[in-house]
Amino acid sequence: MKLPGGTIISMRNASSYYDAVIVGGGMVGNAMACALGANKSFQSKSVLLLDAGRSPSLSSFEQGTPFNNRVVATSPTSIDIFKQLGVWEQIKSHRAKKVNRLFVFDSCSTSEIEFERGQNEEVAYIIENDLIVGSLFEKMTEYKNIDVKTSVKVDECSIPNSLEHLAYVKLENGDVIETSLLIGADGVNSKVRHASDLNYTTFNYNQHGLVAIVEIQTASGKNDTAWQRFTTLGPVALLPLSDTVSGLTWSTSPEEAQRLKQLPSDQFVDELNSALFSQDDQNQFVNQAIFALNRLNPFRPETFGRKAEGTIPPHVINVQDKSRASFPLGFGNAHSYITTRCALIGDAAHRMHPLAGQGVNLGWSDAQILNKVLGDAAREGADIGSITYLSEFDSAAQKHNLPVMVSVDLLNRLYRTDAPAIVAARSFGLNAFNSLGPVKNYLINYLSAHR
Amino acid sequence: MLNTLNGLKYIRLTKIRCPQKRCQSNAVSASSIDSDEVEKFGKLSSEWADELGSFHALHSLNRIRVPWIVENVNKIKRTNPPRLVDVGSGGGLLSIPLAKCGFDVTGIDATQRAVEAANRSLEAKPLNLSGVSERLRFQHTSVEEFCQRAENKSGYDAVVGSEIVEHVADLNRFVNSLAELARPGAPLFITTINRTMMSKLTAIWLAENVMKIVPAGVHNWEKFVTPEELSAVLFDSGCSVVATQGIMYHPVGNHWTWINSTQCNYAILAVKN
Repeated sequence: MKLPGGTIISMRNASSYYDAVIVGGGMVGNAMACALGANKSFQSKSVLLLDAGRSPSLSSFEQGTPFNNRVVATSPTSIDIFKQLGVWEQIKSHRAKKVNRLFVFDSCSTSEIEFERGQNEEVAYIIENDLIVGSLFEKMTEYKNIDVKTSVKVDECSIPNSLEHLAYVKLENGDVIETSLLIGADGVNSKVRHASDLNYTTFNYNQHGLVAIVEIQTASGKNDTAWQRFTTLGPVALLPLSDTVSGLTWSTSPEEAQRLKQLPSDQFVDELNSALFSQDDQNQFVNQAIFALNRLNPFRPETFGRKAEGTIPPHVINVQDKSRASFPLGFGNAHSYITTRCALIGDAAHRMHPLAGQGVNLGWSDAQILNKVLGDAAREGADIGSITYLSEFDSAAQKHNLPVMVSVDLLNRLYRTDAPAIVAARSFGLNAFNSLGPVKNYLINYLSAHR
Repeated sequence: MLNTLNGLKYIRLTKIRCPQKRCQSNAVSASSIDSDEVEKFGKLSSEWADELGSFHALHSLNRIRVPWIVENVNKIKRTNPPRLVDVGSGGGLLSIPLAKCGFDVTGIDATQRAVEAANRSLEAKPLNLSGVSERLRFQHTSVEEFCQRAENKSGYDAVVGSEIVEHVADLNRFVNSLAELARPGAPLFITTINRTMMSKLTAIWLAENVMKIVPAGVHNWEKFVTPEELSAVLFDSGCSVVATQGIMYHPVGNHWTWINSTQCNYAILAVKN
């Protein structure tokens, strides 16, 4: 600020204003910023993204460099969002592994289910988290209406009761930033959510998710199926990253996770193969019944001469050094994702079990819905922090997310037991479902259709 | 079932309409204004910014009336930025979005405290930084007095009277004054409530006597205006009605939709000849 006489006053610690402030520069916060940057109705607005870390460098994702252990199964719907945001080519030019098929099976019975879409249509792409974060970051810096501050920590958030006042964030360096809308994309322990006082339901699964990068060997030399086996401690999933490397997500008890993390590599590989192949928990009565039912089912293509090909997961041969990490698993959902001058997206609003790989996909859907609603608000001259508009985001996002979250929660509970009655029920259910082509296709399209 | 729905709609409407109407004040000279309303709603002036308070349905009504006004004004030849007058602007609930959409807006209202609240909102940072405050002003006056000023006669590219005509004491004078403000070819946007048996049942009997959502006597059903009457008065004032369309409030979800029936709430678009 320039005063008469030419004195320059430092703007430091002064309060500044942005129309919207996004707290959190992760996969969802960055996607939100890119969406608003491209939003035609938002070109005259100012948006600030606050990131506690630094943006990952894209050069660490060149072919041949080791894979990062945090990966995400990106649904076709999310790929469409990436295309709209203009980051898909960038991501693909580094590495994104196309998965054509998802195969789910049970450690307690021979029941199984496989998901495939039409030829050349992917079920998902497996992509490293930081590659997505970095690509989105690079994109958002192209937009004039988006400002970014990296390596800043938010000290305090304040959200007003009515539109009469602004929301603000106070940074650790004392800077205060006022805004019409505070967007919380700051993860499970969201500071924005705490400041909002929104009701939040949460519980822990008493499970930890162990991730690692593993080398695998397949009979065909191809690795384009994602595998998931339900065991009584939790599901084990192998997500392809290349023809010889997969990302592991192994949900198990906290003690087991701790033990597995510290095992020598070769022992870890043995235990992992055993979790994928062991027949110890198989229930013979259920299996005989399934066998009989399959023979009777005229709709099942394999009824006469079952195809063994493609029903056996790859063998794990090695685990990448220092790639093992674990974190607690839990469920959480804010009863409302919004209040005056505040919206929550991604893990800040909801958290779920990783077994279906849906968590961050829901976050991107949040960002897409919120972006549309904010565009409407801007175009109609409204205050973008107004609940009249934000509530539209809340109801659309809750309606989209809750069925997925509840189903995944139920699945996790259903498969954590070897009680014969439940094993039988889930096995017959899954098996029947797998043989009902039209019903299955409907579900696949619901989950992955290009919307 | 339909009756029930309409009833709900009316109840909500009734609740919101009153505040909007605080148009007339003793301080302002003789006019079409009903002075009792002013005091009633002066008390609500602090609530204008509260989206969940007394005005929540007016906040949500913006979702259809703002695009309606913006799209229709953009169709015609106009100055840049287009000059618009919002008669009965209250706390600026409609004037501010219109100014943010690019109009130069003058809001007039007869309730001093509402105008004060509106002026306070002009100091808000978002409006100042974006320059919206510079093309937006509020005045405490009556429309009759306002339209007598030389600079205002035929001085506006668009005239808005939203949720106001059903509260004025003299409909002819009021509409005449609105027409005075519009330059030839300029659109007039009016939203109000019809005078039907449905509205008597719901807005008056149900809302005031049964559910006691509003104090008895706050609404005068006889003063509600039918689309035919409003069209006739507009015609007499030198305007042609271009379109009449019903609007409906959905209390569950607090939103509005355009409907064909004008039994309850409706909107009229007219053009000054």
